[in-house]
Amino acid sequence: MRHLALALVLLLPAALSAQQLAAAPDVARQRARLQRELDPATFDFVSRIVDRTAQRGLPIEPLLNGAAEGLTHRAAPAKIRLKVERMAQRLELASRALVPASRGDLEAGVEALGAGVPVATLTTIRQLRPDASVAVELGVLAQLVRSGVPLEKASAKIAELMRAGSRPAQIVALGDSVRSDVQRGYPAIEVFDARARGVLAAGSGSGNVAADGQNVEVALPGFGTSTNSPPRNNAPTASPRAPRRP
Amino acid sequence: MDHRSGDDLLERVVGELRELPPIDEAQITRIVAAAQAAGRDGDERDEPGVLRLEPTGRRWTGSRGLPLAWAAALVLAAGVGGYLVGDRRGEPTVASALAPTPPARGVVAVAAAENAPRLTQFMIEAPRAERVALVGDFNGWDASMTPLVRDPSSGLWTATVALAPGRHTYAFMVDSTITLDPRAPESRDPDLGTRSSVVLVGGR
Repeated sequence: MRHLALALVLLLPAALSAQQLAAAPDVARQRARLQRELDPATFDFVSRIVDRTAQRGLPIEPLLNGAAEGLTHRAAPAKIRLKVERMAQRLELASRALVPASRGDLEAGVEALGAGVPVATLTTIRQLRPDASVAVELGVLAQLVRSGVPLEKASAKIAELMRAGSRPAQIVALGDSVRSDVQRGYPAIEVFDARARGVLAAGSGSGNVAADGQNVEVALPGFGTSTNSPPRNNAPTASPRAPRRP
Repeated sequence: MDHRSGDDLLERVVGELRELPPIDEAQITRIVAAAQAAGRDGDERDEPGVLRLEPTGRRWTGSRGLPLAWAAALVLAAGVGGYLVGDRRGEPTVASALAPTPPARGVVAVAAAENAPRLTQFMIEAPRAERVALVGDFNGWDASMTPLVRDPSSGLWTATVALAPGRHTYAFMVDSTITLDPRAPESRDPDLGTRSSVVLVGGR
């Protein structure tokens, strides 16, 4: 018993120290970049919102990311202020709707709200999976809505898939399939219906969608994500869109 | 974060491990006694040694003090390992995803396996480019964080990073020009009015 306690005492300070080191550089580095590249008024505005969010116990990384995204895209300062302000509001709403929520859940909730998904839908999705992350489901829902699938239809089908026990990997595969079909010119609503029926028919097993049998997998955006299987029809050589040459 | 700064951080961690204060036997006794007392005061309906998270996510509780202490020690030790592995690989997204950050209000930790990062490969063809980097919500949109490596024979630039399951937005910086992934869907940010590429990363 004494050895156990000793190990705890030895590990605790070192682990806490490492946690601080792991988390601090990213936030500090992002803050430094914002201070360096934003005009002083915008930096003060963003800092106030970030500090207020931190005081409420919510993660500030999404806000810093939002401002950094604006900088990288060379967005106007007014738009960066708007982005951070709205993200903070969505973060607050998501934290109330997704209880309990991981940071990934909150970030996905912010994205979903930004895509127009109502707060009530976030609550429903949380209730359908109360003990696990819903970042994938919310992320796919946001992407489907942005792809042109009507919000009500996308929300209802995602909920149906969750009730049927579909795994997050299957829901991602659904989102990928719809995206691929839409790129080929099929109407979003029709392919969404058809692909969702396929996932439901496959059940919670591997079915005809991606089966991630390994702990670590390689996903290739644009070539079909989250699979270990051979390339599908949208492999590079068969892609209907030639790669751009910047 | 480049490899050099990763090495610096590693040295700082190792240095702190070396500089631990001398062991205080009385302190150990107090901690063990407190842990045992907490175990006696716990809810007897709980399974022995089960680590629980309160619904508010504000504090960790356990039904038995000492097993809880050990579970906490192991979790924290795993955090150290995750940090070191992630940082040594120059992939801060790995480090932040593996390191169990203390939950904030309304925020809970989710099962590590379910939320485990997935290796995701990014690729763009840019044979005449001199420098290509990946920017996205996973690396703070910082062009210095994730440079792509060029295959001289094909002109393809690639990078593989670990991403948490969910939806991520990103772009390439090709010689300081932001460029979308031609093979990925695009998404318009309604607030910024800008466009990014999107990748969906699956969970288990």
